[in-house]
Parts: sequence; structure tokens; C-alpha cells
Amino acid sequence: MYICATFNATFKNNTTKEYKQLLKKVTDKQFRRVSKFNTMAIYGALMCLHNKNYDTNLNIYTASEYGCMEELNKVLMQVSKEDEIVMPFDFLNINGNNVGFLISEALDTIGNNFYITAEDVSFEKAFELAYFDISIDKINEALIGAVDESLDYIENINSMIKNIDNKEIYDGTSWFYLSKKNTNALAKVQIVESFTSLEELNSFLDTITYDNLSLNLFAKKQKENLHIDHKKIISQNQDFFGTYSAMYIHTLLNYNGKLLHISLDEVNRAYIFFFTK
Amino acid sequence: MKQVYITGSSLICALGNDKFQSIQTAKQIHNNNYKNFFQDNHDGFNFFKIKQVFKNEKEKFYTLLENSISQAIIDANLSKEEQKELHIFIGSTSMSISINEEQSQLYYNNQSTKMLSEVGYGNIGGFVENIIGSKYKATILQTACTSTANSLAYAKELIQANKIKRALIVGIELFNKSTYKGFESLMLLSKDGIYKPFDKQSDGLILGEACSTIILDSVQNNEDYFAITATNTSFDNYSITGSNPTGETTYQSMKEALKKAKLTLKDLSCIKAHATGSENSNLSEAKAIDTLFKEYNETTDVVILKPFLGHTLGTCGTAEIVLLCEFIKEGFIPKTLNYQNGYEDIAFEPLLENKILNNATVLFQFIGFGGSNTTLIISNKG
Repeated sequence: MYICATFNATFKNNTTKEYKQLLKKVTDKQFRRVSKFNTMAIYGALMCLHNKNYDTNLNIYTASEYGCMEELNKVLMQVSKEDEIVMPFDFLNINGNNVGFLISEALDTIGNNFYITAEDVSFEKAFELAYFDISIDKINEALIGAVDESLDYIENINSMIKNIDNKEIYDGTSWFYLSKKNTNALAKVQIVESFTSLEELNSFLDTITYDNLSLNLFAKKQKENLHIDHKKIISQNQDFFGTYSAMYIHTLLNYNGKLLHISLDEVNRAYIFFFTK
Repeated sequence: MKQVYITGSSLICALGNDKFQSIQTAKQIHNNNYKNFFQDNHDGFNFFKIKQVFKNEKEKFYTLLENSISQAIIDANLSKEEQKELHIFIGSTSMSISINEEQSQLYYNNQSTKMLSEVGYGNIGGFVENIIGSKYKATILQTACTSTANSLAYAKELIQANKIKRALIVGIELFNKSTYKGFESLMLLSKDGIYKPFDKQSDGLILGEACSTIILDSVQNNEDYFAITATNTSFDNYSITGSNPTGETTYQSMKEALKKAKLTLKDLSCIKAHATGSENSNLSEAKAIDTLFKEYNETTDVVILKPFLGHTLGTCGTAEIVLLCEFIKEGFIPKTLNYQNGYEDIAFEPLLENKILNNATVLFQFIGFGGSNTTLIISNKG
């Protein structure tokens, strides 16, 4: 299984209008009354598969930690008033899974689509499911995305999310195109594995060699307890968004050789992604 | 191929606070007492509500979630050690939006400085992990009304591929204004309060609350078991809110599931239709079933469950599977409530009299906003 294309972009809290301007540059299709979250997702997905000869049967897996927050706040404000009507498109925009339909519309695909969240490791879980579906031959290709909005406008936001380094929160849209075919492949996906403790993870790390290493923020906090070569840790983009691990893997894939990414969650369960170039 | 068994289940819904109470209530509902049953529902809304009282939305959400999971674990007779091996899947359309609605109401009424109670839904997974002491991170899957059906399909495949040992799939759908008003603005809600999917006079759907759990395992724990024999998921790219009027995707999904299970229509005891009650969805699905019957030159009975539960959205996968399995354990599959007249160009009618049986193979069909179609074939025929 190969990664055949990636795309990553972060923005400092763009408006929906700004994303629609970006979208216009990559598609002639009109997406009316679509939320900021959905527009960011469609834009990232289109950029990832731009000029790629993808299988229209590919499955789409969209991961998000927070979901469609801007639109949700709008609807919450509407329903807090007794007589306010919730407009159809506002309602549809807060249903996270509709993002998959819109992306498939943009890409003209007919495969299944799934919206996945899993506290701190939403992208990792989405990647794991896509990897599983390809490995059991259910599908040949997958598009995996990580999309999250900046939440800086919400007061005390860091008391409600796991922004453990108190970084500024950006909009982020990060995408990976996986295929069984190695045509124009960027890297080969060798291992996608999860572990339930640091002991299990360290036993695995003792068996593997790598040239470059990427760690998510929880793994970084635990780096002294991990059986890793600290000299091989690459420097990462300092921007933060909910599903930022996707951006870290995107950066890792710019390096050569054997590439390892480790994500931990809050209680040290681990997700390993091992690629070769 | 490794079998995947339903070893435990639970259902909390408008019918009752557990699956045993729910099936006893369901058995007493007939066309002539339907209105009385339904009148005991949500404060003037046409809505199927869970009949328990809570201090606030947060207590309601997490208490029902915990109760549903605990009931299923007791049903599966899992030890503490076995619970740790459960991989968790959570399916829902509206998740915990009711909790944020309550908080934002306080915020906009200047009674709180906090706009939201929760950001994202991942913490629901953490809550479930803690209840059962699972070693694994919970996966939350949102594919609208197929959320728990797709969770079941994934869990089944992961067990069959020896990736996981056992799984807990829980769905929760509680009343919230955002969803209710959203469906209202889409003009999909019934006004007359008589839920009659597949009937020509159907005037829309009626939403309902449910929290329901299913535990899947590669090892059966008693004689009285159901197994998931095949699943299929297909995508309908016709419209974000409506199914293709040809019914093509739904037909293909059912056909593919039958092929995977190596069954034909004559092997089925019935098809449990999604049958929401909205005109587009009714016609599309009825057309799909009609096409399937013509293709096989055979028919089977068609069962409709939403008049008992309401449309429980993302939870309808687990909730309707549990309810129908309990009916089968009681020795029958139920007739269709409130059905009078079908559509002109549809040749079949849904089941009109209770069908007596003890063993059954059922094709469950689920359809969601965003084009998701999921078919599961479940059997207790050994």
C-alpha cells in the first residue's frame, strides 16, 4: 500500500468566503450554503487529488476532533431563541458526515464515506480504518483527511480541548491519498499498528530501525520514557489544529529513508505509522 | 469464515427502560390503541421519548449511556477482565448536542459565561472507556442514520480478520431542538402523529429517543444466539438528503449482502426495511425491494419497526436489531402497525399479520443522509 499524494494547509482562522475563493481556483463546481468546515475539507481533498488519476470507487475517511464548530454555534444560538427557525442548510452543515457526501460530489467518486472522531487520535483512527479496508481488499484506494477549525473565538477554549502546549489554534486541512498501486508513490506504508501501553510500544520500538522520527505532542511529553533515538526526531511546524498529527506525518514524508511516526493519547496508548521511501 | 455472534444487547427507548420491558410494551401495541400509546410522549411534540426524569441534559445523556452499556455487559455475562478487551464503537447522529444546547441557552440568557459545555465528541469515548475499563481507544463513527449499523459492520469485519477479539457498539440519540427543528424545516416530520411508513397516506417521520448497545464476539456464550452472517455498505450519490428514486443503491446493497451470505430471498425470514416514513425515502426503498423481488422471482416478508420506536436516527441500527431479535425470541415477527394502503406501482405489501417463528434469518436495511446504505444479515438458525 502506498501514499500517492498528500496535501496540507493551515490558515490563521480564514472566513468561509476566503475558503470559497480558494475553492474557485480548483473547481468549477458550485457549493452553495456550505459551512467553513465543509469548504475547508472540500478544498483540501481537491488539492490532494489534483491531476491524480484516482479510482472513483475510493472511500473517503474524514477525521475531526471538533467538527463543524462555527456552524454548530450558529445553530445553538438559533435554538436558544424560542421562535427561531433552523434553516435546512444550517442543520445539514452540523451533521458531520455530510462532509463526505460533498467531497464525493466534488471529486465525482462513488465509494463510501465515513466521518470519524476519537479524542486526541481522530486522524490516527481514520487512517487505521482505511488501512484495514485496503488490507482486506475491500477497496483499492482511500482518501483520508484531517480537518479542524480554529477555535480561538471561544473563551477559555484550552480548558475544553487538549491543546497541551497552549499553542495558537489554526484552521487545518490535511489529506492523504492511499492506493495499492505504486504509480508516482511518495512512500510505502509498511506498518500501521496500535499499542495499549508504553511497555508494549517500547517492545516494538526495540525491534525497528528508522532514519527519521516524528512525535505527536503527547509522545513528545513522554520522549524520555520511549525507546527512541532522540537525534532522529524531526522539527515540526509549530501551528496547531485539532487533528495536527496529519500535518506532522505530512512533514515527515518530506524526509527520506525509513520514517516512523508515533502518536500517543492522554493515557499513553500508542499509534505507530512506519513508511519507507 | 469466522462467525461473529451477538452475545449481549440492551435497549432503552420509549417502549421501556430495558429490552425486556420494551418487548413487553411492544407486544401490547396494536393499531387500535396506537394513539393512546403515542399520546404519552414528548411535551406536545410528536416524538417518542424515553420515560425517565433527569436533573439536566448532561445527567440524562451519561446516565442512559452507562445504563445501556451496563445492561448489555450483564446480558453478555462478561467478567471485568473480558470487558477490558472490548473495542468500543459509538454511533450517533446528534451525539451530545442536547448538552451544548442547554449550556448555550444559559449563555445567551446571560446566566453563564461559558458558551459550550463540550467541544467535539471524543470525550464521550473516554467516558465509555472508563465505564468498562477498556484498554482501547473508542472510535466514534458518524454516518447519519447508518452510524451504528456501520459500526456493527466494521466491528464484525475486524473480529473476522482477527484484528480484535470482541466489540461493544453503542448508539445514543436523545431529543434536541437542533435536530427536531432541522427535520421540521426540511418538512420531513409527520403532523398527524400516526407513524405509517410505506403507507400511501404517510405524512412524514416521527423522531424518537433510544440508547442501545450490542456486544459482538467470536465466541458464542449461550444457545440463544444470533450471528451476523454478512454486511454490505454502499453509497448513493443522488442527494445529500434524499435517496435516488430508482432505489438502485439500496437494491444493490441488499443484493450484494445476500451474495456475500450465499443466500437467496427464499432463505430469508424477512427484510427489516429502513422505512422512515418520508415520501422520497419510502418510495426509493419500496422500489428497491420490489426490484429485488422481481430479480429473484421470489418474495419474503417485509417488516417495519419505526412505528414502535420512532426514528432513532444513528441509533436505529442497534435499536431495531435488538428489538427484532427480542420479537423473534418471543416467537414471532410483528405485523406492520398503521399500514392501510400501499403505493400503486409497488407490488408487495409489508407484513400484515404477526408471523410465528422461533428461528429467523433477517436482512436489515439502513439508509442515511449523506448517501450511506448499510445492509446486515443476522440469523439465529445455527
